[in-house]
Amino acid sequence: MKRATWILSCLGMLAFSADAMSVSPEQERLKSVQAVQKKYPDIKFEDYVYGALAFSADAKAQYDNMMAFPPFESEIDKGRALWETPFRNGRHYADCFPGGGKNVAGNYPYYDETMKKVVTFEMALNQCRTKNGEAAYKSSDMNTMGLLTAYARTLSDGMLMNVKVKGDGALAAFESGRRFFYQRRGQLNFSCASCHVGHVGEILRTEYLSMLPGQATHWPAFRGGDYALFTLQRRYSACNQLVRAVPMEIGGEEYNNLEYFHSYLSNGLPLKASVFRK
Amino acid sequence: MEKPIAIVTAASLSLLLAATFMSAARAAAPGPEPSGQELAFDNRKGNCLACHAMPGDPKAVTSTNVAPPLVGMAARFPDRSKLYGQIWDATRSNPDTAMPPFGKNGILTDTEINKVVDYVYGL
Amino acid sequence: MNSRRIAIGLLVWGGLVMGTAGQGALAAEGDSRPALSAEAAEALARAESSVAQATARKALWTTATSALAQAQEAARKADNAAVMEYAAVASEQASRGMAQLDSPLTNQQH
Repeated sequence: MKRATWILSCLGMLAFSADAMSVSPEQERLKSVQAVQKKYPDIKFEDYVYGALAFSADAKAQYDNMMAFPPFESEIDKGRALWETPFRNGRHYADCFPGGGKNVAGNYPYYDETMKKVVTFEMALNQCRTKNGEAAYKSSDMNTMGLLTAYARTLSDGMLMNVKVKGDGALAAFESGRRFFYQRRGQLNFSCASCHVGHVGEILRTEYLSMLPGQATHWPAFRGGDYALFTLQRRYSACNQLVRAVPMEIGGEEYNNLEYFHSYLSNGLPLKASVFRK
Repeated sequence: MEKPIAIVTAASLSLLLAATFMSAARAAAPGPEPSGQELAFDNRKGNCLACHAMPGDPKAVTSTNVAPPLVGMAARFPDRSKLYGQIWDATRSNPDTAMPPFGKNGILTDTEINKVVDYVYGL
Repeated sequence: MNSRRIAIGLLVWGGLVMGTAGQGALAAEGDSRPALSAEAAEALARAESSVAQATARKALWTTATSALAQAQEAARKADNAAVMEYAAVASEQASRGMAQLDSPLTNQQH
């Protein structure tokens, strides 16, 4: 009897792994990189962080020009002020992170085994606040959390994305993010993959479509003519809205899992925060 | 002589009042019906230009290369219902397609799809 | 004489219709329960429940949300025809969103 139960549960595990985990996260990442390399053999792996800019020398030159003196520099300075201002107990954000917060962002998101959920860098910043007696910021608030990350993430510029997926809980969260990426949504019926896997480097009316690997490395970004500040999850929300799907909550579990998957797929690529994007 | 005029005047006044009230109640009065070309260009409607070039129409400005250009459509789709079906739900012929199911998901009405088909057939 | 009476009658009748309809609309604004037909009320309730279900399943489309808002706005004005029209769209778009959850994943690289 005991033995039968054991065999049955093993079969259950097999069925689960065959269905959801036929490909490991690392295989998934490699396949996604190889697909881009095959279609665009001339684009260097490290240039995937430029996304759509990697397909147009002109657009990249304009970008480089702008980034020499970013017109949104004063916004990053506001973020620096938020980062450097001590909490009421006298402690700082820098005290919450190893190395004073330098070269840490590439380790996020990670799966927290005690909390049984994905922890993003934004959540870690909020944990730092609440631990020091301050109220948490809303992840969707660009004037607080957005600005804070516009500086805090620059402290990890150049660090290679280094997200880890180990253990069943982590795998399940990764799988949930993966499903989100490949699932059709909204009245227009697009998945993220419809464009960013199926039509990488092609032009949608006037804009090149960026590749999946590298997409998670350059946030937050200042976008468009008014340099509006977008965290990665605000971008998810805007994308969902464009395909006419009601967006998920910024900082909620769905987007956190998506960011986990998305960031893992950018592993090995250098971070660069607070850049310009169209 | 003057009596029928009074009737007509009163009746039309009533109608006018009624019409005013009706239009006030239905705030979003529909504008002129868009043409097939307008539907094809409008990014809130067909938005064909996002993915398809239309070299046959000089007004169709796009840099796209996502999907095949719309040229020689009458020759490519001798069966009009095939073209209609492709716009209605392209996932039936290709499960991975990025083309939205305009009819199935109610993005365009049947009338609108037919107008787009008419327009595209001329390309 | 007779025709003049008809003319006056028509004017009064027109005014009455307007007055009643106007009052209905006014009452709808002040009152929490608008004078909706049973049919329209039922369609609205169905749309509200479909949208709630799609929300719970994280499969709601913005088109369902806006159609429901239009139906609710029409209900405030007791415009039965518009309620029926928009509620039907909201229900249909909400159920399409839920059905989409069963559609296959796209462009997987393995």
